[in-house]
Amino acid sequence: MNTRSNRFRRWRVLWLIPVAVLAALSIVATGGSGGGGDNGGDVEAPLVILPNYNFFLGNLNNGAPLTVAVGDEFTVTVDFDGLLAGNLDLNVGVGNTVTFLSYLLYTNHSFDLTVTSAEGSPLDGTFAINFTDDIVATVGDAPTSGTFTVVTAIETVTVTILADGVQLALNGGVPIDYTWDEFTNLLDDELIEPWQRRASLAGGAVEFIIVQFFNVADILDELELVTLNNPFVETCDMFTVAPPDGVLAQGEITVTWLGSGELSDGDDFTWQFTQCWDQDDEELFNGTVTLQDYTESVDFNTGVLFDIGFGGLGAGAPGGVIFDFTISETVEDQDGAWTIPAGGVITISGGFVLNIQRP
Amino acid sequence: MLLLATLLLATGIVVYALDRGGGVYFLYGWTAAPAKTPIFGPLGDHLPTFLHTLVFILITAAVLRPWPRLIPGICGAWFVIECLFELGQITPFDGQLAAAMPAWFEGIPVLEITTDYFIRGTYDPLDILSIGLAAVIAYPLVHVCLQGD
Repeated sequence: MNTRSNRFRRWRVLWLIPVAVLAALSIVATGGSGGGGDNGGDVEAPLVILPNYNFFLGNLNNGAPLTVAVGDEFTVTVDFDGLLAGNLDLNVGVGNTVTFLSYLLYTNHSFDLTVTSAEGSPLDGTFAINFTDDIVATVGDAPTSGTFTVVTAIETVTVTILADGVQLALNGGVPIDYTWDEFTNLLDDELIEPWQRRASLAGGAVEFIIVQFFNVADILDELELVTLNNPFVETCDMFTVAPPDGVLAQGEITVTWLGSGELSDGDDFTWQFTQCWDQDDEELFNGTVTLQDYTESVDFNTGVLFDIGFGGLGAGAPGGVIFDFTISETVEDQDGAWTIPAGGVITISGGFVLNIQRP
Repeated sequence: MLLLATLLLATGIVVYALDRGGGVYFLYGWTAAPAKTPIFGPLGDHLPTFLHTLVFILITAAVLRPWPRLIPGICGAWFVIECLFELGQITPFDGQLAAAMPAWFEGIPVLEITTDYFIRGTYDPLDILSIGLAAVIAYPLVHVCLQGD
């Protein structure tokens, strides 16, 4: 009898498995309201966009990493270490139009850059960029504070952002001050030591990622409009004098929604740039950015936007922002005609997942 | 012990339903607005964490009853488990954990918000304190319950 009773007690230990599962699930289930915007019931509360959100960028789960080929010079591949996280301040105008005001990149996040060049370069190899102090910036301007390190197997460069430039220090040595322009130009100066050029490249990569993030984030509030005017076509700036050879005098941008019914989770968009010239930046955009697997969650009680983006953050989740895209520098020659200089074309491929979430 | 655990669990649910307006996944569909004056006061911020730890210590002790020597281990184990979930909300672990969640979680009830739990959840040292307090209180409480058996 005792033996049977003891055996029964031992078997009771197996009950701990469902207990543990129940505990884990109940912890997770106390998280924020789930469900997409289409799960909100019969009466849909007006969408409320908060003045502050976090944002996350990560590698595509089912696609190539973000890769940038700069002319024939070199190729840079970005590998996010988990998720790159930041925070946004924004202004919400009439009709929920959003203007991004400022942002920061959170400390303790990092990504790797791998540089390859056809002819070999001292910059070739893989190095890590670690944010060691929050990077703070106004949208459209250079950052005003923060620190990141550029780490190779043999050296650590600390890049400290100042009010009007940066300070570089190799392995904790004597810092060197640069203005932003000087810092940017270090990359192309072959007389400068590789660690400084690498730091310049890292700074350029951070800026590039942020620019691409805001390019996509900027159209999120227009997607509803696209679903009502599908495809949505917008003309670009016009070359008032001769455009580069083979380039249209005026290109266009076409955003096409690949869904039907109402805008909902999982929808895809294509963002087609047909020789679209930006007169201010003197750049020509061509190619496609595919916006895969739209995601949006709204608090069903308050109508507050919880998160929005493209692609899932979990491992293996589909979707994201996928580039097949070129940016060409345009230069006006002495005769007033525009040309694209040799080596002036940047090719972007691969992509990232993007998610903006309530803090 | 199971009856006590059930009562405590129900109290935790009431906190979410009344003081927080049901703005959590497991109360999806509960549309009451959060109470203007929280019924549980500032305690309501950490009471669910405290109760959750206490409840699962009681359930585990009930399952393993009557082995009193296991009680410290049970309390310690739940303290660690609950703390790990809380610490998982700290940056940068939150992002790394969220990125490690498998895609098949999507569409599965509860599991589908695991990513949200880590990223949207806010780490609070007072929650760790609540967990610790629950683990400490649970020890004599389970003893008393076992003696009552």
